[in-house]
Amino acid sequence: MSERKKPVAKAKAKAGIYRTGYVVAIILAVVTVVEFYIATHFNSFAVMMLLGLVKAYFVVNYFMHIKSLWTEEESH
Amino acid sequence: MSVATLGHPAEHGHTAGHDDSQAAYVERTRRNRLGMWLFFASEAFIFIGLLAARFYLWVGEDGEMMRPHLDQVAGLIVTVVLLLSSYFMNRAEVSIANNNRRDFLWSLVITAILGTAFLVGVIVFEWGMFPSIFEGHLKPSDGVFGAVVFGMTGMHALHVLSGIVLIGNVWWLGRKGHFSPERHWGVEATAIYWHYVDLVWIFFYPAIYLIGHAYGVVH
Repeated sequence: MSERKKPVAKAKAKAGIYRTGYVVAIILAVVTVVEFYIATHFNSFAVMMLLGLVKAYFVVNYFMHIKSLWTEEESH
Repeated sequence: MSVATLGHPAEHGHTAGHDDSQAAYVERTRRNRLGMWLFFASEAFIFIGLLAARFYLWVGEDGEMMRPHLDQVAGLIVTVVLLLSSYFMNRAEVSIANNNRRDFLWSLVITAILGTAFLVGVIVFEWGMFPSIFEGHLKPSDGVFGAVVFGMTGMHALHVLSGIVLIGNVWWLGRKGHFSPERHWGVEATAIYWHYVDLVWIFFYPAIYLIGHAYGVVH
């Protein structure tokens, strides 16, 4: 790779490693807004719990890496 | 318990009498990780118990679900703050795993600041601990509504506070170079603890603020 392209490649690589984090954060924010809207307009217990489970899935799976409990992973 | 291994000498390579090979470290980390999740399972009983109390006690005369009248703006703001802190905690973990120390340390600082902002938001704007700044909606003595709100948010706030202490500890050790991309169990443990605190709030927030018909508690 040429010297000129190295900083760009480095920046792209850096953005790539954080992509999962900010995608999940955006999803959580959107679901929270939806949750607030539905609560103030429809007041459905089942929908609230469902949205909570959706948020919980993303946090447990992508932030808490629950799969690392049973998969062979690199060390920490 | 696995959290006690924060900053353990094995994290930065020198031990006494330990097998310090990477394979041994990986095996220890796997056991520590299981220990953390068993801890989460035990903590879940506390929080599920509090949720059960909420849904059992906050029932109106016609059997409909009720909730106390609370400041919705404050509730939404503290929720967004906590979610944002989770992003930065994840960013800190990813940073140290990729040897980006500067980002790792700054992300920890931001997480701690946001966590503190959450606590201040709850204490000042929900508990109304400083009436001269903001008059709270409830007192702990306000029947089932006050007792459950303060019980739930109080237990959660204790965990947020301990999480902030852990983050401070990890930040301090991180400054001294205790963690590496290959060995940073202390960071992972603190991160998943912080996300667990966020996970609890994911269910507490709608239970306290959103579900049921609002009922104005008379003092």
